[in-house]
Amino acid sequence: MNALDARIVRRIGGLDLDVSIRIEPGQTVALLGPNGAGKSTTVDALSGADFDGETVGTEIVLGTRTLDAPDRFVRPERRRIGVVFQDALLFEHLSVVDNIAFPVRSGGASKRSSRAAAHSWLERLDLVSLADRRPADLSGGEAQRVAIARALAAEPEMLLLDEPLSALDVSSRSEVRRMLRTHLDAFHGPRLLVTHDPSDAFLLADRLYVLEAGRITQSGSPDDIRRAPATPYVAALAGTNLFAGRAETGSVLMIDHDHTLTIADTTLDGDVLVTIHPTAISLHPARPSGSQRNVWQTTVDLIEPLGDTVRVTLSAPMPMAVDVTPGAVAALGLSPGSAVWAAVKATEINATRA
Amino acid sequence: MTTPRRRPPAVLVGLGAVGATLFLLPLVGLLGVTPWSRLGELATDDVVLDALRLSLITSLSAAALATVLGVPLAWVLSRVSFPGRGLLRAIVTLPMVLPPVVGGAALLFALGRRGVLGEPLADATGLVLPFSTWGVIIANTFVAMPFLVITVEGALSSVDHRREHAAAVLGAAPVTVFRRVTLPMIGPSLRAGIVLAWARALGEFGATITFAGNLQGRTQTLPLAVFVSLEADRDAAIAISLLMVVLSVSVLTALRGRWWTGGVGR
Repeated sequence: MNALDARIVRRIGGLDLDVSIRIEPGQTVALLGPNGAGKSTTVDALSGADFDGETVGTEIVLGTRTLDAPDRFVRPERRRIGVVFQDALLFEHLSVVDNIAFPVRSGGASKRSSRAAAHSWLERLDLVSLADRRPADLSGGEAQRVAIARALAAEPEMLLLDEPLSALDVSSRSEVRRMLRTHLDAFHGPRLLVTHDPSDAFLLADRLYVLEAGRITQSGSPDDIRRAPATPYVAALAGTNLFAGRAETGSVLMIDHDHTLTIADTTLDGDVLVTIHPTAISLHPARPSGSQRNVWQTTVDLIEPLGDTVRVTLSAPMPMAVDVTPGAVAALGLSPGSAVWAAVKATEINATRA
Repeated sequence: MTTPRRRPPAVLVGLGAVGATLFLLPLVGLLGVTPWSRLGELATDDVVLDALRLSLITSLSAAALATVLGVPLAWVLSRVSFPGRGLLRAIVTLPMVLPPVVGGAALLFALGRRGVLGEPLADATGLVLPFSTWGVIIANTFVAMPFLVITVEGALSSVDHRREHAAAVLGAAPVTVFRRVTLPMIGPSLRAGIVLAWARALGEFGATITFAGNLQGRTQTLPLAVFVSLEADRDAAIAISLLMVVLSVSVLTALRGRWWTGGVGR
């Protein structure tokens, strides 16, 4: 399968974008950044949208095909990059099944066989009941699922998800996120998730690129970035202490970490998202005897000042950011590598359905 | 509870009423002088039936021709940037401002038997446009197409380009994007443009009589028949006028419910 190797340069007016991104086949990379960092310009460049400014230095290679270089520009319809847009961009005059048949039809298939292909995608993505609806009659979550099906039906070599969840309300967001988790894994090409939401990035991606003001300021695995944030923006993101887990009667087994947390809500069942505020975690020199339900031993990975407080980053079993006072650091005698006990109350852990 | 509705300003209502009267008065006048007892006989006269048939054929053909040529022209004007685009846009709308007689004369100089284009065309193919039904269709298209181009270009400019980009990303070639995404998106405006063009062609007089003449059965459309009858037989002129009013009003009301209210200007 094909990897994506791209350097994208775009300059016009106040925009100055220069990013290099590499995505292996079967890898999900998140491009995470605040609004105005250049995320949509990156999406436009990859998908082949027109651009009137300076592009010198741009080179986009997908597998063995050069899509964009000084002497070469492959038009959008020949790039074979499937794009899922923030607002779905379904064709309002076509039914759901015809929306999904559209790319197959554009590839030269007959009306009949493209419909048949669309139906098999509907079945695979559990959308059969929506087949004859018009986009105007779909909820935001349904529209986005149809858009994902439509992008996959084009049988692209790469998937590009441009803020696929940010236009959705909370409940449909988790539904679409669940669908993405399943179907991203089944897609064998490079996968790029562009988002401003750290929870989507940390949950769905194998690797993160942080984009700030047109430059990549940090890249690495979600844990790398949590452990050693390179900029204040990343530190704020990493400080959210966000993990995916599986809940069962009040305890959550973390998916990427060998650890179980106890939560207050015993009714949650299945995939959940867990967030813990950095100030909710307390640090102790020995096993604390208080009422906290979650107590574990760990080591200090990193200590850095963060305004009036100090950000202590813990290592295995769960990389976590903890905000304490400078006094506490001194009293505990903390330094990188020192052993420490961490504790957090079950009621301080926020768990929601993923 | 609803808020009390404010009385509409008297000035606006008054001027609006005068405006409406200006439209209604000629219609009432026409109905007043209509020779109702002879109407059936007058309306089935050979001259009238020929003109009616010819009017329908030529106005519908002109609307079709204006659509086939005008939609691509509108697309180019809205999407392709090239030097002289502003000038071309002005030229395209010129027939809306120009007296139709001038348009007809210009067509005659260009496409007439001795015209710049007409002479080589006649030599090569034997096709002589002036004073033929084709001449009527071309004159009609000339005056009617601007209405379609303006309507469609306006709609194309306000279309969400990202949906067209989405279609391209899904593998659709530019012509496919135009046919399967752009055209459906501008559907209501396109239909309005076609109706406007057809209506203009149906009422066309000046360019037609100048370029195509006034030959019964070949180039004499309903408006021309009215003009001729005004001299010879006033009652016939009135009958044909009434026929045109009925034809126009019935088509416009039939289309209004379906096409005009929902889409235009959305």
